[in-house]
Amino acid sequence: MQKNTNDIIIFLLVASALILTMAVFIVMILYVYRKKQILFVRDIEQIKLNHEKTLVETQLEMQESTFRHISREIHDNINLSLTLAKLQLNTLNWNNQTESEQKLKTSIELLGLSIKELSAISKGLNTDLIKQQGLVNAVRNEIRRIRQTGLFTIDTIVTGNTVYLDAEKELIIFRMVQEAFNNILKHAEARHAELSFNYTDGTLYIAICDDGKGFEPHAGSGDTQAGLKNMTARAKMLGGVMDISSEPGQGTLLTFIIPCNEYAKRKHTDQSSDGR
Amino acid sequence: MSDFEKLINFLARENYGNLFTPLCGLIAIVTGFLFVQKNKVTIFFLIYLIIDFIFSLCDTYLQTFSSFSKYQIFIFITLTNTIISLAELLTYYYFFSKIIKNKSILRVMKILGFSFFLITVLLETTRFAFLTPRLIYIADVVGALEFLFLVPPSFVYFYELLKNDPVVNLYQRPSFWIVTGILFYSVISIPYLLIDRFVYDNQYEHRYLLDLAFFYIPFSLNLIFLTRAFLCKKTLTI
Repeated sequence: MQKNTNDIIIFLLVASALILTMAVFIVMILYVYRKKQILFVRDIEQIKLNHEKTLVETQLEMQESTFRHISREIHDNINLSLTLAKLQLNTLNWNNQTESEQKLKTSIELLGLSIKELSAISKGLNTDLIKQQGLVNAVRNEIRRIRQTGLFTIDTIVTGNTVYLDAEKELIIFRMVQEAFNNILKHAEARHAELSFNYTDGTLYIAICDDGKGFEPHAGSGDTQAGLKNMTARAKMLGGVMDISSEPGQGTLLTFIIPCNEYAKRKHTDQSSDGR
Repeated sequence: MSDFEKLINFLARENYGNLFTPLCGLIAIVTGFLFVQKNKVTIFFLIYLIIDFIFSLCDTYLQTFSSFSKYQIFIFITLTNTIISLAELLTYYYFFSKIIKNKSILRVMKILGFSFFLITVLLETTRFAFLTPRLIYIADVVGALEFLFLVPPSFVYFYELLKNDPVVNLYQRPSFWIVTGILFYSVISIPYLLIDRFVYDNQYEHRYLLDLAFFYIPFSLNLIFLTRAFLCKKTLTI
């Protein structure tokens, strides 16, 4: 009988030790998990912070680039037109009515041109359109504006279900497209360009190609390299990639692949082509 | 002696463990019906809880009021307990198959689950009449085997839990409560089921207290943890 009681006491001790071990095990799991969770939250916050920092840096860089663009436009075009207009008005000879009328007419034309250019700059800067109508419509407006220069023809193709990103990201994409077309305007000497937006499987594929003089992507001037670097950095900041394919005399193809699967499809299916 | 007095005497002898545990089961069932998204895992848990609850009531009724012999009641309890064990193992294995990612473990679980099913069928149909040891011993070993099969997946769950990104707070994870409950219950029950017959055969004076400490309380704790999991208002497999 005594032996049996001892056996049961041993069992009780073993069972109690097991219970205690289990309790310690669970407490340890809780402790390790909590510690891991704190580190995980800290990592996520750091990633968020870095992303926000990059976003601010990109916005500042975009702002600087826009200011440079405005400055160049004012200096090269508006300033020139206004100076010419002023010159025409300063040299008005009231004794020669025909000549004065001609000069006045030219001055009015120059002023009109300046107003038009100012208006174009203002439209290019206005980001409200992106917020109100989305990226695709804003890009279409920009293309319409570029077409008015008459320097080259542009086809635009939009396919897939349009995914609306948040306004900040759409603005960055818009600026990238804008910069690509500014480069075509300034350097490519193209007669035709094509822009395509393709929304497929949560990814936005943008392709911009022209039949211009092309260039050697890795051997460009400092400005070209800086511009391409900025565009690459912007695409990377959106979680995407940019690729450039160009050869002298062969035109240029610029592609952006930007993920947008985390955003809900907010609007109708947008499958259109308004090329001409 | 009135029926009520008989019932009270029976419950008092078992230290009210067989009152407290079905009550916890009932709370878990009601909570499960009211608060959890109905999917296959939830339905399996509810079926298992209902089977367990009904059999507990039957056991209590038979042991208190019936005129069957003690041996007949014992056979009934053994057979129903084995069915509960099978339901329990299959429910938890189904649940584990939804949360464990390790494919080798899942394959082993399939084999163990099938083996246990065969053992149960054998026990239910033959009562192990062809074996020398009595059913009385075999049934406890089968019970211990069930819990032994439940321990490894529980540890694998904790291993994978710590390996993955801790996105969800641990207390808000229904799976954490479920696995903690079954692990406690299993680890405590295995040695007890193995010593259970020895305790009864030797008429150990505190045997009912041992029943309470090593069966009713861990089982009730498991049911309380399951109720807590149901209250997380998330899919049970998170």
